[in-house]
Amino acid sequence: MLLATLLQLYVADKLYTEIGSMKNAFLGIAAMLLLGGFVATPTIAADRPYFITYDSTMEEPGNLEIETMGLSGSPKGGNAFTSGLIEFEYGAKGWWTTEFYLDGQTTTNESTIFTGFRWENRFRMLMREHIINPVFYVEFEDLNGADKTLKEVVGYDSQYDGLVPNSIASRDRQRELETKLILSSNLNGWNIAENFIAEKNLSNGPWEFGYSAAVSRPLALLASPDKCTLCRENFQTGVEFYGGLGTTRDFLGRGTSQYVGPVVGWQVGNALFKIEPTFGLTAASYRVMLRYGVQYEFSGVGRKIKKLFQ
Amino acid sequence: MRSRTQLLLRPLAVVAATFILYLTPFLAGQDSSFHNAPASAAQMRNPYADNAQAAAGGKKLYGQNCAQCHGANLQGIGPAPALDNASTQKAKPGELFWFITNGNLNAGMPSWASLPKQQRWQIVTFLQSKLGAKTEAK
Repeated sequence: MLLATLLQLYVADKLYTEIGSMKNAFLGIAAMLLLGGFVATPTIAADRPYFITYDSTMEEPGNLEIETMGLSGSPKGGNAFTSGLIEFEYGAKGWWTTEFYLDGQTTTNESTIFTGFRWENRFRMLMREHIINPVFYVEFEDLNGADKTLKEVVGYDSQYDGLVPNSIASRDRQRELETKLILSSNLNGWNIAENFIAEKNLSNGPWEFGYSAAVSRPLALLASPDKCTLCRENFQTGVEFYGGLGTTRDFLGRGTSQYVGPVVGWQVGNALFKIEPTFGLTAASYRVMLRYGVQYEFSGVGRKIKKLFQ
Repeated sequence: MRSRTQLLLRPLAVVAATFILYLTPFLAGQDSSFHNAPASAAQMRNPYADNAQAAAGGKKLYGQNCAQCHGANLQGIGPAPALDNASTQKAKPGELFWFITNGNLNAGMPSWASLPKQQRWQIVTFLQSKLGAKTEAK
C-alpha cells in the first residue's frame, strides 16, 4: 500500500510535464490496482465507498485497515497536481476507532513533497443501532500550507489556495484541531450519512465550518450463493456532497467551495476499490477533480501483537 | 441467648433472600433470550428460513465478515465464541438477527447494520442450517 502511494507520486512527478493530469490520474489508479491486488488480505465487505464522508461503521476491534487515496486536479491558471495519502485505521474498541495519516503531493513544474500527518479518533456515542447513529470525531492535524489532499473542505478553502507555489506554501505550518459530528442511518439497504465539521487553527484564526453528506447502496441486497467478481452485490454506488460553510467571523458568506461527486465502489476479492469524479459548483471550487483509492484490512493484528509480548 | 453475630446476620440474610427473590424473574428473563434480545426481536420471522440458496449465500457472507473472529468452521477464536453450539442453533432467528444488527460493542462484537438486512438474514439462515451446524466457511 505504501509502495502504491509512493509509486503513484513518483510516476505523477516524472510524467506531469509531459502528459495531462487525467492521464496521471489513471496511471495512479493503475499503480494502486496493481499493487493493491498483490497484497490483498481478508477485508470487510460492509465499508462504504465514500472519500470525504464518514458513516457510523467502526473498525472491528483488533483489526488494522490500510487505505491509500489519490486526488488529481488543477486550479484555474495554476499547475496541475496529484496528492496522495496513506491511512492506518485501527479498531481499538468496538466503539473507538483510531487512524493515522501521512499526506503528500506533487505539483507540475514545482516539486513532490511530504505535507504532514493527521491523527484522528472516532467514538460511537450509542452502543446500539438506532434510526440515526451519532459518532463523535476529533482529529489533530500537523500539515503545511501545501497540503492538497482536500480530505475536508471548510471555511473559505478555495482553488486559489492551490496557486501558491510549494516552495512558499510549505513554509506555512498549520496545527489544527478538527471535530465532526457524524450522523448515519441504514435504511432498506441505503446508507445516508451527514457530517458537520468545525476546525480551528491552534495558533490563530477563527473556527471554520464545513459539511459533507452522502448516500449509497449496493446494486444487489441479496448475496449470491457462489463466489463472483462482477456480480451486482460487489458494487456500491452513491453520491457525495461537501463544502465550506464559512467561519465564526463570516458564517455562510459568499465565496465558499461546494462539490458534488458520484462514487462507485467495487469489492474485488479482498480489496475495495473506489473512484469519484468530483465537480465544483461555485467559482471558488476546483472545476473538476478525480479521487481514487483502495483499502484492505488485516484481521487480528491486535491479537497477534499481544501474543508477541506474552 | 443469641450471640451478637447471629443478631447481625439475621437481618442481612433476610435482605439477601428478598433481593434474590426479587431478581429471580429478571435473571430468568435474561437467560431465556439470546444476548438479552428484546421480546420483539424473538417475534421476527426469517424470510429465508430453510432456503438453501440463501444459506449458501450466508455461508459466503460468513466467510467474508465473521470467520476472521469466529473461525472458518465456527469454532471461535480467542474471545469470540464458537457458533456451532446449541445456544446458536436454539436461539430464535429474530434474536440472532437482532444481535448481528446491534452487536455488543463493549464486548468487541461490532454492529453489522451496515450490511443490508437481507444479508444479515442470510447469515442467520446459514448459522441455523445444517450447513452452519458443522462446516467450514471459506
